[in-house]
Amino acid sequence: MVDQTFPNRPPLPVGSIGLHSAGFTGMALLILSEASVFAYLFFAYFYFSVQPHSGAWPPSGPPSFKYSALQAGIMLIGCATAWWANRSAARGARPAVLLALGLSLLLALSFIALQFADWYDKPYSLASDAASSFYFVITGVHLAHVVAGALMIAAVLVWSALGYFGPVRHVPILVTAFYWYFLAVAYLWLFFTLYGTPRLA
Amino acid sequence: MIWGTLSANAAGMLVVPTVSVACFFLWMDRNFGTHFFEAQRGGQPLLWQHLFWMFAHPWVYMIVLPAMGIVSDAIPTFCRRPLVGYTAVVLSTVLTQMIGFGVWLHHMFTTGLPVLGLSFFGATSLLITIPSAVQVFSWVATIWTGRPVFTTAMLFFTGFIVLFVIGGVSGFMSGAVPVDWELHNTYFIVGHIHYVLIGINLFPVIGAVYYWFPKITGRLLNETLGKINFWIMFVGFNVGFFTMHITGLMGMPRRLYTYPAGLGWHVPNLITTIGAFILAFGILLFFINVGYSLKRGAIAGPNPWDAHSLEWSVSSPPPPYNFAVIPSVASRHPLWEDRIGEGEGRSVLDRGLVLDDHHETLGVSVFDGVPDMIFKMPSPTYLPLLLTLCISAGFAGLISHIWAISYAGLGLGVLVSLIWLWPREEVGQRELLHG
Repeated sequence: MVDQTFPNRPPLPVGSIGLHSAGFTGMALLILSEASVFAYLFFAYFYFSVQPHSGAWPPSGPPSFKYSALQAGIMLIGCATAWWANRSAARGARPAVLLALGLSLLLALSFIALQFADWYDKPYSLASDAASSFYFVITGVHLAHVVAGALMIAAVLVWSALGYFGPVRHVPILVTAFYWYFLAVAYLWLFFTLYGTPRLA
Repeated sequence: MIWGTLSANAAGMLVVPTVSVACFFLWMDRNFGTHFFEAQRGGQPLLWQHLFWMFAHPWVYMIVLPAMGIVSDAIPTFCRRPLVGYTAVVLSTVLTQMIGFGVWLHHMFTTGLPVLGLSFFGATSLLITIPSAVQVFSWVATIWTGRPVFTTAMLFFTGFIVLFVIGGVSGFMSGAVPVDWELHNTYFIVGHIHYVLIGINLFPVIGAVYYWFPKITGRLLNETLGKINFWIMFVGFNVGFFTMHITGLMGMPRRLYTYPAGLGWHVPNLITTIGAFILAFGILLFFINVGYSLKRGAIAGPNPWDAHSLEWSVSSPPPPYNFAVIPSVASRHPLWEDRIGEGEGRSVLDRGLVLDDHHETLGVSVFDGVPDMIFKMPSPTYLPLLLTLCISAGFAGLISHIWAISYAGLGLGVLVSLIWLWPREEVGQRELLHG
């Protein structure tokens, strides 16, 4: 762009930059909207839990911490590796970026495996009663988001290996890390709602 | 209008997910035997109403606020003066949307909810009339203190104000809990919804077409036909839909397609039918006018209404790139600055950053709008369209239970997203932020 108004003004930097980038704004808005999805899912769940029940709620007792506690831990460690990937990219340390993203991908895949283990561990199914419907649908919606996150991590891992990113350009890694932070917060929220609140009653 | 669409978009991101969740629950109930809504299997049918109205009431404001914004933008042009109380109008626009998140229960006053809930949501529903009234008084004051020119567009906008007041008052009435208990299942509510959806949305939108048609096509819509068009629509609308309120007060329930003779509802229903046909004829005249004026309308020139905002500074229709240089805007009425002496400094429309290096746009700071970078924009591409088609195929497969199509659609969608987002040197970041 030629500046006719102030010819002496230093030229503006070119590109979609860091927290000002279009990708970051887009991800922030996506997260706002997806966080609303989770908020309404939990609203519906609490709407059920405050109704008068004939027996216990959930009827088969609160879901166990056997796998879910591990899953919550994995989400949090994933935040650390994602943050590390972004920081290493900013410093231009490509081997560290690849290692951090590789670990993040591994954590995402083990989260997915543990979620299936958690499901198969249950004696009830989707169609048993309202509480089991909520359990499978809410964890399922979160799992779908984690699968999307794993795909994103795999993509930026490949792109980093191909040498697309460096100290100047690494917004896609930042955006992926940002999405993972959201997944972690959403899981903690889910963990508190589905696994925690029935124990408080 | 910017503030109206901004409020609507923000609300869209926050409340569209409720209706998605509701529809998803319903789909799961029907296909996989979950227990969300069916009472006899432990579900809560009323949850559907909650989730639906948590979306649908803010949605009413999502379609109304941009339409009200059109009126706030265009009325000054035809009154030859700036809008009275611009800041108050902006604040009430945003406030209406915000209060609009907390009124959904007023659609459910008769479902046996606790009194505390009814009182709270009754109060918020009445409260929302305050920001709405601020806007009405502002439009009336603009017309009162200006020198109004009653073109067809202006007729639609003033007609809208009248319909807005009637629809608002009938809404205010049914927002009061005891009145709603009387009116809820009657035709009064049907009359109200016609006023708010057609009166408050369709009228300003048709007015907006009369206002911006010359900018879009380069030709004016025919004014004589336009005035006939307005009066037929306005008369037909009120004859048809005002009568619905009376039918409702006479006790006719809504969602009724037939009833026994001798209940005394024949005459008002006949009047409603006649009014609806007159309105439909008026809308037909509008389409005839559009078709006729596209070919034979008077040539408009860049600024046929002597309007104040930026779009009128370029030729009609505008060039594909809109502005050759990015203009610097110093006030709310850049084309009227010399006449009304608003603010300090003057807008600069003919010099600035030249758009001479492919697709570019400015990135600015959030609060002050100071340019701090140049975005490289991607060139036109079919990939987003392709992605949309893949997602549509995916969901069509889910609805019709043809799972192969849904797997294929969603899988291809992931692939297309990858190609779309593949890092390209020419649009990526090249420098760190200066300073």
